[in-house]
Amino acid sequence: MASVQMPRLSDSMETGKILRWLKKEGEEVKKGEPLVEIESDKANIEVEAYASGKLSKIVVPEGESAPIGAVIAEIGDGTSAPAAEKTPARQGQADAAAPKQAAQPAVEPKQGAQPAAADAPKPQATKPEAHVAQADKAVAATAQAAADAGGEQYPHGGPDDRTEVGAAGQAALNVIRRPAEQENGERQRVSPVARRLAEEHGVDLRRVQGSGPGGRITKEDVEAAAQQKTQPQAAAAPTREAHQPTARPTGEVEVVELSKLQTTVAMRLAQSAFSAPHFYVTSEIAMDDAVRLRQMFNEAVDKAEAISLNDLVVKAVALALTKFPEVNASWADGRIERKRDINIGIAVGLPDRLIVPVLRNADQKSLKDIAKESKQLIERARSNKASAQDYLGNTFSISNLGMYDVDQFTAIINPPDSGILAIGAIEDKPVVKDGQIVPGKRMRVTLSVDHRVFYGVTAAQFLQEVKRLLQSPMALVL
Amino acid sequence: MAVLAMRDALNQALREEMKRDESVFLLGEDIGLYDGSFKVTRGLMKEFGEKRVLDTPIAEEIIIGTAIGAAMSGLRPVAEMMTVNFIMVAMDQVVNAAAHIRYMFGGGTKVPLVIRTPGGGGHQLGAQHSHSHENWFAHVPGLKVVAPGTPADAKGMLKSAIRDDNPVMFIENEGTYAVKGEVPDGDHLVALDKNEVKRAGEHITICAHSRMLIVAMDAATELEKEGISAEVVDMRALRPLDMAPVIESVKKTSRLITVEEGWRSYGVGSEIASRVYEEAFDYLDAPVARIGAAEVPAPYNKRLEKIAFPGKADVIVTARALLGKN
Repeated sequence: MASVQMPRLSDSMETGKILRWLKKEGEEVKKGEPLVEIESDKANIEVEAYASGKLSKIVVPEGESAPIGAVIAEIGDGTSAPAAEKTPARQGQADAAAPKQAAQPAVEPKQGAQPAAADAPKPQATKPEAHVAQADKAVAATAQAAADAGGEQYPHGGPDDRTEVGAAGQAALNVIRRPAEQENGERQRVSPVARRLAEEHGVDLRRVQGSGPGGRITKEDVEAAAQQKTQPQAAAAPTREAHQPTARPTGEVEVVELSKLQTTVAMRLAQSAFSAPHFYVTSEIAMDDAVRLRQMFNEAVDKAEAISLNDLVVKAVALALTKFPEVNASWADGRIERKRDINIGIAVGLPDRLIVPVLRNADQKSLKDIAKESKQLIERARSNKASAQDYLGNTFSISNLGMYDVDQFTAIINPPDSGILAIGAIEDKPVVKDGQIVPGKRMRVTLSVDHRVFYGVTAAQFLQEVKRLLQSPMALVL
Repeated sequence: MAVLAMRDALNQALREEMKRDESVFLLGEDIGLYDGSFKVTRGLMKEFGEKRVLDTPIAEEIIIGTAIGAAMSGLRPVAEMMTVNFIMVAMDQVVNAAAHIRYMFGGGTKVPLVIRTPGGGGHQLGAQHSHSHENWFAHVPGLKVVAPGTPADAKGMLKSAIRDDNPVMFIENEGTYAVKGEVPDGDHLVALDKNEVKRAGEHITICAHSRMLIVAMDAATELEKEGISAEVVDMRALRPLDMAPVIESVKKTSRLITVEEGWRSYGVGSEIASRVYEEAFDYLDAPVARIGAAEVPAPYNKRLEKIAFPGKADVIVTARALLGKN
């Protein structure tokens, strides 16, 4: 069964008048055959059947009018073809209403325009305004019915009938769902408000897992992190990464491809470990004065100029190197190259890579400048904005795992250096001073040495100098 | 307080202002004998006569030009453009004349003119009858542009527009004339430069004007059922653009969707998004999502048209996506 509806024959048409039925009730009609002649506000038009079958019922007789979309006839072939498929208008809402339409044609309870059909004015006299008045009435009736139906804006179905997103909304969605850009080292996505709140609450964004689209860290993520926050007492913390749990492999083996950077690091470290004969010298340093000095220093300067213990170590190492050119040297194909400049590499561990930005001429810089510059270097390295220059020219390196509560460890020399100093945590422990046991702050450092470049005694003496400087730290601020 | 359809609220505003001030008159195509294409001017010719309700030829440039001359000579014309699509032939009058005259004469003359015209599509009227162009006018200094979405605002803003000494583009919408709402009786005035929160919410802000305000409100109702509380800001004042309620809302919700019936590119949402980036960047949790018509001339084909214009499904799905709930 298919219902024939009053078609829209012009832009301004509101109702149409049936001039002539070209088929009689009970007559067979073929899809595409002329079925009815309708008068719109602009012209008389023959309208074709949209379905084949028997014209089972003429709902609107000749001479009468009906608004657009109203059922004017029924075509039935005995089978039950869904009305909505065959009719040109109202696909949006027809499905549910179709059986009712068939049962009681011409009265479609839910359709906005329908009441107008019941009240459709009879053809009027030939006054010139007649047509106008009729159209007006139809508009008013449509409006009224539309309003009664809850302010329905499209009596004949429109964008609001859609339950799926349309072309209109898709463009907005494409922006929101755009996948995170592939960048080397994966830049962390942080929303502006999250960044601001993190700063306000002192939340370390590197420790926050993003829950937003594309893994973006959102306001809620930072607020949750701020609530849980327990500020750990980091000994010296230019680099501290929280452990990001890695997903367990689902298969027996998961293959992890290396980034270009990781490949380079692997190659160079293997080369260093297997070609440079390493030996190690460890020493424990009393850090009480250095810790106190740092406190006093930081109380005296702006927060932005605060120094870390690592900065003190950098300065101490740099000053010690001025007295030990044999340490500030490289193995170069059977010869030793001693360097004029003292450039300290600072190892920064990130979850997926190891990088060593270089602080140049560290011996000539004040603590304040060392602090400032290393902060900038590390930040650039982290955010992947470092230039190649930032990684070049190291003559000696430092690796610090103190903030991870490591007592001591040995590091692999970072080529072309011939030494690297591995820094452990500062521990509060009982120490003997003037025959008394007193609390003290102790830090263990381990020097790795390329035995081809310098030897045990030099290594021990160099370490003694570093120790002297850190235990009498006033020398570092001069 | 009476419940009126938008067209009747507009009619009431015109009638009240014509009664209050003899210098107010109407002109446009089919607004007199025919009562207006959308019946906004119903009965006004009968009541006020042919001198104050002028049926004009189909000549938009002349309608606006005549209105500008009348406005400069001390009258307060309200010109009707049958749809905003038809105003294109009169753009020189609107922009080069109406908008600029007061400035070019150093304030020596003014143009108290209202141009009423509906935008909007979705009625299978094709590409030359279905667009929304409010952003074209909102681009021009010297014009005021408003686009109310409720009958009460329609009445209050039309009355304010008629009393304003500047040319006001009063943007209506073909899809809202039948929409009903409570309308205060008598001298109900709504400022031309104040936007407002029409529905309070916590999680996301939706900016919309004209018919899209209704779409946004419907979407907010649906979203509420899913536990998403949306704040809807009515952007009825487009120029001058009152951003205060948006900024305040974004500072609370951190997420913004703009909805307009016109195209996204260079649209109202683009301007709102820019202002938010300027004034509330540090409060955003996601990029501003702009919803607008598909970037094509409005299709006549019913199915295509249905997906080309924004509907509430677009708003709902976008809101979910912005909140990461999809």
